[in-house]
Amino acid sequence: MGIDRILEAGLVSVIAGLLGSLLGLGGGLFVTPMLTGPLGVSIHRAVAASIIAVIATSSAGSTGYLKRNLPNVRLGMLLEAGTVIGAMAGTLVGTSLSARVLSGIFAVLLVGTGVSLARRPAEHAVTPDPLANRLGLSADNPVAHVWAGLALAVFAGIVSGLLGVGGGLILVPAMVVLMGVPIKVATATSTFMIGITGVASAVIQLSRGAVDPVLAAPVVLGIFIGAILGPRVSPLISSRLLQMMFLLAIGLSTVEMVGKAVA
Amino acid sequence: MLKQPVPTTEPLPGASPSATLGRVLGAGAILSVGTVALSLVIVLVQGTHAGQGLTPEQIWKALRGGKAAGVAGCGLILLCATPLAREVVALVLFARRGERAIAALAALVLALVALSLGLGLHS
Repeated sequence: MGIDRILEAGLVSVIAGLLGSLLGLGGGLFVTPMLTGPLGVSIHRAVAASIIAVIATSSAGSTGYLKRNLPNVRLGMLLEAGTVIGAMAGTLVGTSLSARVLSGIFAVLLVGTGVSLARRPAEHAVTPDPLANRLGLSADNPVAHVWAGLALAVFAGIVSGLLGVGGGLILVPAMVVLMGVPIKVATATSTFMIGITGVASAVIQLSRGAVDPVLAAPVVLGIFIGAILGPRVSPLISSRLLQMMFLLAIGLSTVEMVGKAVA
Repeated sequence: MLKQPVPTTEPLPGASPSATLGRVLGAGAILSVGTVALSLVIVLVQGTHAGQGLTPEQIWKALRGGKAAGVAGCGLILLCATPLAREVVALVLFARRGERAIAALAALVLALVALSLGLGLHS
């Protein structure tokens, strides 16, 4: 890949970083197809770069969100324990599992998630889980169904480790629909926590020599610029619009996963 | 007798966890992305092409040789260290506030990442 393509990767990554930090998705959803499609990078190199991109989105995006005290830090720290376990498992068994089967399962889950999210208002009242109260998770907003949310966080981590995308696609709807977290808090919390999930996968990829630093560099720089814009754009858009954008991302991802499953 | 957790709705002494964690992430992001940006300048000067994955040992060797891939790899390692630094600071902050369950979660995550690194190096 020459210099022109490297610069191209950086420019497209700006948009990926903006959308990734706004939606709590980390940018991997957008980076992987961009690298494998128009830029012709192999899927393994693209997944490794997109995992690095997730860390960049999280670190840059969270800085702005934390200034506004938007993420539920304690909830993020609980769920990230689950996603790290899942990401480790996903990264380690990635080569021994059928990508077609996993893509199919993920597509079905995404359809269910999308329908649930579409039927729910962006913010709705819930009965707080006693465990959430004990852990201080409900200090700003009541949080419900902590154990179910944690189980989904483990699954989100597995998918993230296997495909380099998808963690936030499960986490954000799980927080909104299941745990009753307002969507803007959910996307900010997801942005806060996905960085450490990315690290769990990235250290394995780096140790194996799977990361091409010259390929990842423009992606990281572009993602950083886009991700610092996310928290500035977030107050300008309504919760409903954010929910619609998230549903669009779920739809695009479902099409991609169905494509992989039937290929 | 077990110590009761401190109610989180009451103000506690010291800076808020959000502000402190935000500063740690911001500093790490600027340092790592600055290093990555420097590597891109070297790419433009040297005309380096992408296409080769590097292990940490190869990154170190390239860095000593002043190659763009080494500088970029160094930036990526700093980037990976940023959420870890945030986790260490969170562990200390929440332990000081008496929120032992949250501090224990931070310790668990750090232990898992250390295990992840060990598995990666030995696979």
